[in-house]
Parts: sequence; structure tokens; C-alpha cells
Amino acid sequence: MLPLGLWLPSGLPAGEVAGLLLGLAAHHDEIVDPDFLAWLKARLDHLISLDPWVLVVILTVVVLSIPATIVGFYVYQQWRLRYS
Amino acid sequence: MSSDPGSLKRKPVFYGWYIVATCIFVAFVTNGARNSFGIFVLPMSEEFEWSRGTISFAAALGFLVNGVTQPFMGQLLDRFGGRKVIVSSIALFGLTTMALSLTFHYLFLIFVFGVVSSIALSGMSLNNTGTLLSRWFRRRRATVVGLNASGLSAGGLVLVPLGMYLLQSTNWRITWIAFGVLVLALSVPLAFFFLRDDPRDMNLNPDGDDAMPGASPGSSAGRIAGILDTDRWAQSLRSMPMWQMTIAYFACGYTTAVLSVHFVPFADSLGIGPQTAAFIFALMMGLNVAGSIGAGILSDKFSRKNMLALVYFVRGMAYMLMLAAVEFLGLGTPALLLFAIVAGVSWIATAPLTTALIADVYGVRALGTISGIAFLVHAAGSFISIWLAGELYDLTGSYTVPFTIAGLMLFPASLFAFSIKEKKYSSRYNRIEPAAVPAGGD
Repeated sequence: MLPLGLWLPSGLPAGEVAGLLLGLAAHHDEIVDPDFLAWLKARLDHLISLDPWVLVVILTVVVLSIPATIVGFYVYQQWRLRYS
Repeated sequence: MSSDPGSLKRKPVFYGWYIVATCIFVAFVTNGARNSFGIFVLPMSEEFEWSRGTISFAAALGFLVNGVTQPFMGQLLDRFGGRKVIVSSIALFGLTTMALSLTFHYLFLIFVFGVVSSIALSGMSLNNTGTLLSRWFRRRRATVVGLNASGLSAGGLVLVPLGMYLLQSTNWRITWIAFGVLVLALSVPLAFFFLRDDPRDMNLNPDGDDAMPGASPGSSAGRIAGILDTDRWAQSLRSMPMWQMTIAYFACGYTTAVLSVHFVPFADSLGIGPQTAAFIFALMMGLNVAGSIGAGILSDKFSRKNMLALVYFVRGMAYMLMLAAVEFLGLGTPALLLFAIVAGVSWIATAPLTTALIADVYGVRALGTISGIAFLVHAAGSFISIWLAGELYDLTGSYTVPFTIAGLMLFPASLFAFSIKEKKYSSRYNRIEPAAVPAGGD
């Protein structure tokens, strides 16, 4: 383990500070806190009783649909310009 | 704009909107993958028998590297153009994400995630994509930068659950590879195909406007600049608006980070459980999407500096009302809920407003670097607040003092923003005749 205490300010446990830095997620495009994620996962499992693979497929389709929509709209615009 | 209804009907969508959509998707995927690091903490620390502090150090170092490298990556963008820098950064980010599946030692994790991946993230940060978008939009500048910022939050909402379920179905190595593939297979080609450095490269004008009278479309003759417009970032440091904006931005970094880090312990000190605290914090983060877009739209219609001052003032009032409700009325959950709603709308609203205001005042030729300096100061505020709040908590045994300092900082920040002479310096109100504008970069 690296000597965290050497560079972190005194009075704060190094691991705690580093762990808490994970909580900077939403504002600083950094990391989501693992405890919050564990809680979120438990809540989602309680609400959605689907196989994990099904959820993986659904969420992947959501991600894929965004660039597909952008490209599709661009192609449609080009086609419309050419033939209108 | 033509008055012929037929030509209106045929007018294509302004190409800048494809740039906006691409930047949002890039922010969505890359920041979603980055945010997901939290889901790897437990399985990786279990497999390698690392402590949480060790694995979290990579994240903390990444935050530091990301902040420090912003001005340098901004300078690269100013010099080589947005397309090259952003596409290269996405590719590097995708490769490092896949490389994390090969982790065998904590030094490997720290180097790949904390250093290389963080530098790559700076190259496609809100700062750099905001700079690119500012070249494509002038009238709707804050609106599009606000939309871009919303991609950050949306990415976490989809990619983090995707990672959680993929991790549950497979293992952490395959999940890192999958994230890397998503970045490389989707973001890189999309950015390569759609991103363009400047509307003039396509004979277009910002916002898709028609050319100014006497100027051909896409020519530099139609360019609008304020009196502080510059292609040298150092010149911005010799003028008041830069200091007013960055000092206020320091307060922004201070007041957001102190709460992000200490919110759950603060709630705990009030007797509020971690689940309720997490829900309240998540509500606040959800509202920041609406706040970011809303503030951008309003500032494109009204004065940007007044909107920025209002955002700081609202956040300051949220802090003071929460503390008053906790200290004098003994309220816990209702006080935090009220705070989450009031402060949530102001949480990332400062980013599009500050980026747009810098672009209006200093122009877009050195915007990447100037804006990067502002982001660096913001990050410095974040670090100082995290340290100081911890020290003050140890000294006083409560969060009242550090949170009061945070709340009180926002009122001078609001004054700094309000006192910016926007009508004197902003290109929205003052136009230099084209012949008087230095042609550097055109």
C-alpha cells in the first residue's frame, strides 16, 4: 500500500479521505461511491426482478440507440436534401 | 433568413446540432464508464486483497491529474483543433479502459486509471467539448454547453447500472473490456465522423446564421468579437473579468465538493440514515440536469453574469437556510430535502454559464486554455474544501462551521459575478469591426 498519509492532510484518515473522494461523481465527472452503488443495486434488485442478462441487453440497446439515432437522422437529412 | 417559405422548408438542420449530439454522447459513454469505477472497488479489492484506501487512491489521484491537466489539454485543443484532440483522447480513454482488465498490481491500476486515463478524460472534458461547441454556437452558447453537461449525469444513470448487471453476470475483467469496446466502437467513429473544428470549415456561421451583410458565409469578415478578444491565454490574466469569474469558480468548487464528500457524514450527524441521505443526494444530482439546461437557456436570453450571480446567490441561500433549519429549528430530513431541491438546480449550472461568459469576453481562439485555467481553480477549491472541512470537523465536532464558511463564500462569489462588466466586455453587447479584429487563427 502506498504511504497515503505522507501526502494527505493531517487529521484525516487517508483511506477515509480517498474513499470519500469517490463521492465526487456527479459534479466532477468522477467516481460514484461504492456504498451508494451497493444500496442502489439492492433497491433495483428489489424493484426489478429480471435476469441480469436481460437488463444488460436492455441497457446496451439504450446505449446503441443513441448513436444509431444520430446517424439515422443525419442520413435522412442528407437523403431529403438530395431528393427534395 | 430567407422569407421564401419553400426555401425555409428545405433548409437542413444546422450541422452544429450534430456536434452537440456527438459531444453529449461522448460525455454520456466516457463519463458513464468513468463513474462506474465504484462498482469495481469491491471485486478488485477482494481478488487482490487490497484495502479500500489503496484502490481509492487511484480515483483520488485521477481527480487530481484530471484537474491539473485541463489547461494543458485546452491548450492542445486551441493549437491543433477540437476534432484531433477529442477523437485522440476518446481513443486513448477506450484503450486504457480495456487495459484495466489486465490489472495485476495496484501500481498498474494507479498508472493506467489514475494517470493515463485521467489525462485522456481531460482531453474530452466539458472544458474541451464546451470550447468546441462555443465555436459553433454564439446565441445559444450556454444552452448547448448546458445540454452537453447533462450528458455527464445521464451517462452515470445508464452506464453504472449496465456495469453492475454485467459484473453480476460475468466478472470485473470482462466488464472493463465491455466498457472499452463501447467507447472505441461507438464514440470514436461517431466523433471522427461528425466533429469539425469550426463552422467556417464548412462555409457555415455560428448558430447556422446567414452571413453578415457584405460577408460571404463562413468568412472571418462576419466574426464578432469583444474588446478583450485574444488568442493568448496570458492576456486574460491581465483583465478583471477573468479574476472575477475564476474567484467565483473557486467558491463553486469549494461549495460543491465539501458537500459531495461530507454530505452523508453530515446527515449521519443529524440522525438521518445513509439510505435516506443517499436518496436526498441523488435527488439533488437529478435536479442538477434541469438546472444546468435551464440556466443555459435563460442566460442565452438574459444577462449571463446576472444569471451566474443568481445561481451563486441561490446556492448560498440554500446553505444558510439549511443550517438555520438544522441549528435553530432542529429539523433534519426536511431541511436536507429543502436544501437538495434549492441547491440541486444550481449544482452544475455554473459550468455552462462560466464557459459561455469566458467565450463571450475572450473569444474562442484561446478558450480551451483560459477555460481550463478556470476549471483548475475550481478543482483547487474542491481539494481545499475537502481538507478544511475535515480539519474543522475534528476541531469543532460538527459540520456547522465548515458549511457556514461554504455558504458565506457564495455571497461574495455572487457579487464577483454580478460586478462583471458584461456590457462593456462581452461580444454579445459589443462588436469590433471585422477589420479591427486580429486575424490570428482565422
